Amino acid sequence: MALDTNESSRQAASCLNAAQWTLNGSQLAWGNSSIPLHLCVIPVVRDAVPAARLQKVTMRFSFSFASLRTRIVVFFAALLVLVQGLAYLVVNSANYQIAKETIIQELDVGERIFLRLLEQQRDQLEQNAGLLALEFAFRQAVATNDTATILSALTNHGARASASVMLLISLDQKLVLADTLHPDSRLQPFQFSYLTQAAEVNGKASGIVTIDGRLYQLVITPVNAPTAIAWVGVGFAIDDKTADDLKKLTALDVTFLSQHQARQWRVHASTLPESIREGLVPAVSGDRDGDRESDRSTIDLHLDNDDYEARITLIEKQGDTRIVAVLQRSLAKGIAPFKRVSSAFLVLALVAIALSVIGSILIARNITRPINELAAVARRIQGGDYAQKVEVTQKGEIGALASSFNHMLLGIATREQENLRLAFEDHLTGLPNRAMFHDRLTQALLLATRKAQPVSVMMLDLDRFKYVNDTLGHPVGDLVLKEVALRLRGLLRESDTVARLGGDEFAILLLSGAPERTSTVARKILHSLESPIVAEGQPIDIGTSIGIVYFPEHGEDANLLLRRADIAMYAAKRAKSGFATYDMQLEEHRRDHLT
Amino acid sequence: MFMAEIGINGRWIGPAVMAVAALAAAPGWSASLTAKVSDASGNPMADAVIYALPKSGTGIPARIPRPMAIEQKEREFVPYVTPVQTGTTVNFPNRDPLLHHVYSFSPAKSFEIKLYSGDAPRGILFDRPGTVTLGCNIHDWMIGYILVVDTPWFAKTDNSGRGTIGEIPVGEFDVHLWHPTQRIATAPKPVKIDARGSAELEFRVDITPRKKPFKPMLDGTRYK
Repeated sequence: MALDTNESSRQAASCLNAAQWTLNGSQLAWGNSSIPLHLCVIPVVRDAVPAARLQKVTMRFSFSFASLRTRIVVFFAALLVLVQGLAYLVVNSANYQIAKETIIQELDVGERIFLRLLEQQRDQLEQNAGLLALEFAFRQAVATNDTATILSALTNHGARASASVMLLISLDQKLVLADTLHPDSRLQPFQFSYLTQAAEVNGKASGIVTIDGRLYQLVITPVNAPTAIAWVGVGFAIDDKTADDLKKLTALDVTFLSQHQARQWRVHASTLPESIREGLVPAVSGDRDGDRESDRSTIDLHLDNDDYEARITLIEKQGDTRIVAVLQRSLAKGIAPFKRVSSAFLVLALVAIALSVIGSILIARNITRPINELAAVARRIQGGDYAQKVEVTQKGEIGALASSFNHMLLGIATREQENLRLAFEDHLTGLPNRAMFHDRLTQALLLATRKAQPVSVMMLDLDRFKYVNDTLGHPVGDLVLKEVALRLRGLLRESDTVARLGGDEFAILLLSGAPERTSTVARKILHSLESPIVAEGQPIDIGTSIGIVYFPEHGEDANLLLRRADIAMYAAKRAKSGFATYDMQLEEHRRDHLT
Repeated sequence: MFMAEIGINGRWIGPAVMAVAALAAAPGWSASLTAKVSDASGNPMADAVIYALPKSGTGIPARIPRPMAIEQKEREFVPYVTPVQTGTTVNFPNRDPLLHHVYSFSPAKSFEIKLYSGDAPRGILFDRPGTVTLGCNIHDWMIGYILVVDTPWFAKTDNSGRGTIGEIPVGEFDVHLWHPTQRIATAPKPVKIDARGSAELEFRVDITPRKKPFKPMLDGTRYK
């Protein structure tokens, strides 16, 4: 692999050197700027095979980052991922904030509803207690001073009011005369004397108290007959059911906790499962440092793998007893709708990224496919194939590029042809030149060897051409040469070749060159050139001498044949015989002549 | 002077005249006892009852007191406070064009006169000393008091806070004070009545200010 690459680059380098060299050479030769462009193609043709290998190496890396398509796709995908990612983060964080604020608002609303419900329940209790205290039969029962009667009356009226506890307290000494929770105990001091004190002033009082570790909302009103004769207490238990009812209306989890004499907080009722409600104790303890100044606070709560936003509301403070309600809402549940928005956003982002990747692949393909096609055509041009054009299917830049490419292709092809023509054709007469003649002769010899056909070669020059050139000038000389070429061509078959070898020297190849036909053709030529050539209104008498050789008698290869034809031609000129066939003796004579 | 006293206690004319007639034969009767009652901040206090109990525990004439009446007028007990001697029968005439249901759950006298109009079907005998709180079962704000005392020598203060026992025999007495909204019982004050004396006492009593219970109107003109 490494070797390949090295070799390729070396080849490419040599190709480049060759091109430069040719460029310099061509400039020296023609001084024309349009020509070098195609000339540099020729050394590239020479390097066609290594260049293909170079291409192969490039193909192997077509999916690398160097590929335009990959770069376009990666750029747009990365851009979109970046933008969408940032947007997602912003949306997510905003959602979290909004969710939290929403939850705090919900806590505010829930708390107001909660407190209002407690008030309503208290008012309800007060009404019930007030009505009870005014009922004649109840007052009669109280007036009997008979504990059993009073207890049964309390139980009866308590059931009517759906109360959980009913108390009768003596007017002056505040002794509990009857207690439906403790029917057997009597004349204990009433432990919530602050309520009776408040009731003496206001006519009624209420508070949240703990009795036997349970929470009650307790209302105290006097029993009037018609003036106060005792206090009646009506209590409503605050239990899990109460909490559940409050949750239905506030949409918040509700927990009641109490603390006595700075001891540990205690959970009394809650909507939370038994297993996790105790987790509130440290949170509430931690929130309170010593005496609690404000009645409410909001805390972040972590319970059972869920985050909550919680509002701690003080609902009772009597002496060293504090009772709070913790209202809380799951952050996860609150955030859930926002999570759905985020997920939808994420899905949209992924779809957008996928679509943009697909889109950029398609666009990249539209850009790179024509480029690849152009590259393929360029490779074919390297190989010398100018036949296939680029299909111009697109408009715009790519289409313009393809059109230009086709124009360039046409230009190269035309110039290549011209170049070939220049290489193998005589510029003046339009006849094949020496190189081409040599080529055709070689081909003809190979064919003749196989088919055992006779081939003859004639060489002739004009006897008085130097004189014409010197006296009448080169333009007339050129006209004469053209006329000679025309006449020679007119005497020969299509399959025969007549070429101008240079100066006034012509050569003729007869593919069916038997001696009879050859002699006939030679005579015809002599005859044809005997009639004067008219140039610029002036008849010019010009003669010729022809040397003839036969294959294979006079030589096996083209060079030898041409040399011997030349010898024969000089012999004919010397002898003024018109034409002469090569002879070994002529050779010796010539050798003598040369020495 | 005597007549003047009667004038002041106009409502007492009937019993007073009767007392005068009864006591005319008794020795040393010509004295009177006046008490001036004020609240903790010195304002004269009406509806306080003073009554004198002889220190010897004797000397109370054995007679049946005259029946008394407490009216129900404009859905109130009139008078608000009524002192009576033990053994008095009290009638509860209904002067309203509607029914009343008078009751008491007080230990001194528990009774009930179910819905009636006009004169009550019967009078109630108050035969034990003590406080009787009167109520009406269909009008919660109606409150009245009867103080039943074991003595014929009692009086109720007027709006100036003064109450005078007109005919009281010579002797030594403990003078008691009672008020429906007193916070604590006031200690009795000893007094010695001589032949020509007109003794005067001053009482201060700490009461809970009387809050008139809410009384709904029947219509705008009659029960304003």
